[in-house]
Amino acid sequence: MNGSTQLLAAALSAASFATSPTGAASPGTTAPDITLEETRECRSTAAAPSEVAPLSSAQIESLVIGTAQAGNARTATDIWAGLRQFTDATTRRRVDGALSAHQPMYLKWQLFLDDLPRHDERITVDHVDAARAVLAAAADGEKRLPAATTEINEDGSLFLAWSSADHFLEISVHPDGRFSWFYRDRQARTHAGTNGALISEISPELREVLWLFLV
Amino acid sequence: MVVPGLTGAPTELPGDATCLRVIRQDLRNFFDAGTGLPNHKAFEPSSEDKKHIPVRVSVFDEERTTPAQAVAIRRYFALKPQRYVVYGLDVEDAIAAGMAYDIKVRVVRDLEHLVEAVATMPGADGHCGIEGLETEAAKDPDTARALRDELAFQCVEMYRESDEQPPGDGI
Repeated sequence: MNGSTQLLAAALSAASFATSPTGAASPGTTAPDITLEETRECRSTAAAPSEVAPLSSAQIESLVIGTAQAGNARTATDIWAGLRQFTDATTRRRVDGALSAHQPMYLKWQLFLDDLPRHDERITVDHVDAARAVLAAAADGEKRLPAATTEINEDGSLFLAWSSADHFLEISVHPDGRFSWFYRDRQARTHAGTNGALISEISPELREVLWLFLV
Repeated sequence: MVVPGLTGAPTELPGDATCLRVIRQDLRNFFDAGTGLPNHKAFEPSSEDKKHIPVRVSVFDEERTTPAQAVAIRRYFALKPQRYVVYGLDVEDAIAAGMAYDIKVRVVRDLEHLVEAVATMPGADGHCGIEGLETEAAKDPDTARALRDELAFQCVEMYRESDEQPPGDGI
């Protein structure tokens, strides 16, 4: 998934929120001063970035903060992950600070993933996008995986892990989007996974495991 | 290097001993999701560990090395600022975990692989290694991960440099 697709995902997420019957915003709007039509414009921007100007920094800030203040911090964080790169530095600082008050760990993780290619030459932007695509595939409706302990494996794959006293799940994502997974029930002392073999889609076995972690 | 007093077969630590595992976290490419729980990677042999046969995951005998000394020794090799976490693991738990997966796990004193500069540091005489944690010791990679995860599950955090602490100035 490239940056444009990421933007598209964020805009779609915003549109979904705007039309959600449970959303606090009025139908047809995503946040104060931002209409669904503008969000659609943003979506078309993703398809042809050079033809239509993206939302301004102020509009993006309004969209994200408005969404968070309406009680949808998760959606706001997802939108921000897609649109942050299109804002100026001042807006970035302001929105980062505001969002961290709503959902500190998840936002911190998203920003960490954004920054990873700048901090480690083994990881590219496309690699991070590939990891996000796996995370998106792992989500189920409103439920998604929370922030993961993240590091880089010796083979250069991106290691994402979720731990509790009872369960452990690891997904290691390679640059081409393929991944391996490993799960362990720490109480029953049983485990499952791909034994390091790479797969491209969420298998039924992994889907069952994911239900233990989705929030 | 040859360390005086080190001869013959390696000495195994008794079951009632506790070993210290020092984990390095580079804050630029490591994100802690806040659970405070280690995972199997905490006991994964490093590329340096794999250079020697038998493969030994580096730990310290708590009787001879304090967490601060263990971190100082690990920090000696650091090329860039790092944050460190120290976990304590009972040797009997490590052995029992190995038995559960049909793998011979033992903790042995290991002074022969210490470089001279480190060998003279306080607490260096407590350096040990856990054998049996490499992937090749298990019937398949996931079993090796499961064993290492069991060790991670059994260990107790003894020291952690905080996020606010400037990496490299920990102890």
